[in-house]
Amino acid sequence: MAVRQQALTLVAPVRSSALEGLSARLDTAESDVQDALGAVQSLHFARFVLIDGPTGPGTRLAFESNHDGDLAPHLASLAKALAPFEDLLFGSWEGYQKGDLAGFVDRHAVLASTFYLGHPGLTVPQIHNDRDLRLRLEALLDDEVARQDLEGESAVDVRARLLGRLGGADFSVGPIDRGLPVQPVSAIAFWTLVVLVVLPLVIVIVPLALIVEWNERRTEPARELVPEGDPRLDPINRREDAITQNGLTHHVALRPGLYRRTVFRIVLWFLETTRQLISYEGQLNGIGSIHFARWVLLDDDSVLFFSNYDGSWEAYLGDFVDKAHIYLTAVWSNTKWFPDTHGLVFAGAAKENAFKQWTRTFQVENRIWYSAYKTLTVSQVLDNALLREGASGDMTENEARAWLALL
Amino acid sequence: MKPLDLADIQGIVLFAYASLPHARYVHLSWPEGSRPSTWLAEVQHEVHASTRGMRNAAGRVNVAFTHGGLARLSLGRSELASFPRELQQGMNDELRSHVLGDVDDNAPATWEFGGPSQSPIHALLMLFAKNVEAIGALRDRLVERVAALGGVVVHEDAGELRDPGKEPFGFRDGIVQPHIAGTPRPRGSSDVEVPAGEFLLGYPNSYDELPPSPQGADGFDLGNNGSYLVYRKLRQDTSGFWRCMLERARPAGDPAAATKLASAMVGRWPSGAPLVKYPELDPGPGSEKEDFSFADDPDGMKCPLGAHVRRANPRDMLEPSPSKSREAVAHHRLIRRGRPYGPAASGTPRERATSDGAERGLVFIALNTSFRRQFEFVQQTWLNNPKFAGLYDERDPVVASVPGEGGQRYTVPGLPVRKRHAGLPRFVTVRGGGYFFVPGVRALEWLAKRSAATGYDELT
Repeated sequence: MAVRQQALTLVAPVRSSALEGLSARLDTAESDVQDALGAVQSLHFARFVLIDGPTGPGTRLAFESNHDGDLAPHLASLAKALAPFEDLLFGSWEGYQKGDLAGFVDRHAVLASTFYLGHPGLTVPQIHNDRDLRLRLEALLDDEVARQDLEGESAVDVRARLLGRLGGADFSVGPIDRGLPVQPVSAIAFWTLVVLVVLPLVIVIVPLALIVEWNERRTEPARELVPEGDPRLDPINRREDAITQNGLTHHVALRPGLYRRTVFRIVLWFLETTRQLISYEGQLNGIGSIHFARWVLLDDDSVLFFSNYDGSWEAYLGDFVDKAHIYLTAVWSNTKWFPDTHGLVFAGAAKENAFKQWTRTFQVENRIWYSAYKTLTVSQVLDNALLREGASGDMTENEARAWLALL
Repeated sequence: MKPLDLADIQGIVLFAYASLPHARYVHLSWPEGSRPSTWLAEVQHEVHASTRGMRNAAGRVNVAFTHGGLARLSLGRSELASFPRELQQGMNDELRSHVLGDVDDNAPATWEFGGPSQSPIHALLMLFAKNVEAIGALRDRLVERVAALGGVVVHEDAGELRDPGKEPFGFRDGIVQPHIAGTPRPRGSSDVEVPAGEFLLGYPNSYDELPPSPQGADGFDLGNNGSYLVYRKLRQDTSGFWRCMLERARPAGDPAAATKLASAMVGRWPSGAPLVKYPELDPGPGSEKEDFSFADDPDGMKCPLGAHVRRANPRDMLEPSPSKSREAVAHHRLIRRGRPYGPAASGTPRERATSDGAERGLVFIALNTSFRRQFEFVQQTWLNNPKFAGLYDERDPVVASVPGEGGQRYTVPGLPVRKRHAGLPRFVTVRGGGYFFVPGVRALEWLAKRSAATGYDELT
C-alpha cells in the first residue's frame, strides 16, 4: 500500500501571557527542537513561525508539517517527541489544553488550498534508506575502482559485482508502490476540463479583472515595499542558503472586495485540481527544486505560503519569474501591493525586480525550521529512488550503464 | 531600441581596451574628516567616455565609487538608500560573504585590502596604457593629484593583457563576452547579444524592464548610463594546480595526461578549444571561438558536467529544455574586464609545477546592473553550488571559493563507470575586493558639483 504524503497546517493566536519574548525563546530552542523532531519518523519538513494577526504583528503562531500517512499516529509521534517543549510551542497557543494536541488540531487545523509534492509516495525512512544505499554503493564503487582498472568491463558485470558486495541485509532494494497514477490523465480529459470549466470562467473573470485592476490602480494607496538596504531583511538573509534547502514563509492580506476573494479561491481550486489530475514528479512546470509547497487561506482573508525548496532564494524566485509567472500572478495578484497586472495573469510576477521586492516585503522569518534530509535535493531524492529500484533484478547493458551513471 | 548615449558612458563598460595591455587599479581612501570632492572635480575631466576610440590613445582613465565613497561625496540619506542592497553593504559584509562563499581562507578578514578592519576604500581609479612607461607616467600623475587633494592610496594592482590571452593556469580566457547592441566595438563571432540594461542603467534589461536606478534628491537620474562593478583579486596557485594534475594523471607525471585532466576540469583545452567538440585532443588555436552546445553531451561524456565552463555559462544544459535554459541563462550574464597579474607563466606542465615563488592571479572585474541576479547568482548558484546540474556534492573544480569537507570532489563521467577525484585542494584564493558604482559622465559632474556645494558639517 502506498503511503500518501499529507499537509498539516495549524494557525492560532498566541495567548497574551506568552507573547513577550516568544520569538527569542523559539530561536533559542530551535536546534533542540530540530534534534527532537528527528525522532518523528513520519515527518519530512516542519516549521514554527510567528505571523501577524488581528491583534498585532507577530501575534499568531503558525505550524506546518509535511508528513507520511494518517494524521493520528503522526500527531501522537509529534506530541511525544516535542513533550519537553510542549509549553513553549503548543502551549503558546490560546485555547491549547495540555496533552491534547489532537483536540487542538481538530479545532484549529486549516486545510491547504493547494498542496504541491515533489517526490510523492516516498516516506522519510524510505528516503533515508535510499540515501544510505547510495552512499554505500558509492563507497563500494570507489573501492572497486581503486582495486582494479574497470575500463573495458561491461556495465552488467560491474553492477553485478557491486550488488554482490552489497549483500542485502542493511537496505531495502527494488521498486515500491508509490501510489503514482498509472497513467496521466489523458489529454482529452484535461482539455475537456479546460473547455467546460476553465474557459467559461476565463471569459467572465478576465474582463472583470481588467475593470478591477483599473479601479485598484486608481484608488489604492501607494505600495510601501521594503527598501533595498532594509536591515529587517538581514536575519532572513542570514538564515537563507546555509544548507542545500530553504524554507520560505510568506504572508500577505488579500485585496479587499468580493471579486478578489472569489477569484483567489477559484484559482487555487483550479491549481489543486490540475495537480491531482496531471501526473508529475519532481517538476512543477519546469521547476524541479520544490519538495513541498502550499497555499493556505486564513480566516482573516490573508494568504500563507510555505515552501521547502532547494538552492538559493535568488534562483528559486528567478524560476518563479522565468517559468511560473502566469500561475503565480493568477494567485498572488489578488493580494496586497502585488505588482500591477493585466487581465489577472499577465505582468505581475513577470516584472522581475518588482515581484522579488514584493516577495521580500511579505516574507516572514522562520523561527524553527526542520528538514528530515537537509542535504538532499528533490532530484537527488528521486535519483536515489532510481538507484534503489535498480538494485535488484536483471538489466541490459544499456540499463546497467544508466544505473551506474547515477553513482 | 534606445541608442547608447556613448558620450555619457565610461569606456570600461563598453571596451576591453585590448590595445592598451597595461593596467593599474588604484584603490583610494579619504581619511576621516576629509572628502574626495575637490579631487573628483578635477579628475572628472580626465575620465574617458565611450566616444573616444582606441586609436593613438596615450592612456585611458575610468573611475568608480564604493557606497562609502558616495557617502563621503555627501550624498543624502535617501539618495544613498536608493543604491542596491549589495552596494550599500559592500563585498566584505557578512551577508555578502555568506552568498559569495567568502569564508575560511577567502574570508574578508584575511584579505590584503578591502577587509572589514582595513582602510575603507572610497574610490577606484582604473588606468590603461600602451606600455610600461606610459602606464607608470599616467599612474604617477594621477596619484600625485590624489595625494595633493587629501586622498591616500590604500592598495594598487597591476594587470596585464598578454598574448594570446591566457590566464595564469595556462588556459585561453575571456573568449565569450556578451555583446551590447549599439556598441561601437565589433561583435565577435562567439559573442552573444544581450540587452544593454543588463550592464547599463537607464536601458531595458533582459526582462524588458528598466533596472532600478539610484536617484538624486533633485530628481537627477544618478544611475543613468552607469553600471555596477565587481572587483576581486584572485590569487592562483599555478604550481600547486599543475603539481596536482601531474600527481593525479594516469600515468602519473605524464604531461599529456595532466593537461587532459586539467582541461577536463576547465572544459576547454589550453588553446581554448571546447571539449564538447574536441573531446580527445587539443586541435590548437583557432577553434576557441566556435559555438557549441552542452545539450548534445547530456551525460558529460565529452565535457564533465561540473567543468568550469559549464558552471560559468551553462548555455543550453539546464532543466527543463535547451531553449528554456538559454532563456534563463540570459538573465545571469556578466561583462568581464579582468586581467592577469604577476609575471607571465609558461612552459610544460612540469615547468609550471615548479614554484618560482612569484604570486600570480587574476584581477577579476565584472560589470552588471544587478549584483544579486548576475555576479552573485553565478557565484552562488552555479560555481559554488554543490548540487549544480544534478551533481551530488562538488563545486567548481578550478575556482570554487568554498572547499568541500576534506577537499573538493570532481567527477569525470566515463564507461562503464565514472572517475572521481576526491580531496582536491583549493587553487584560487580571494585576496581582496569590493563592489563599486561606475557613474556616467554627467553623473560624475553632478556628484562633483553636489559634493562641492555641501559643507562637510552638513553631513550626517
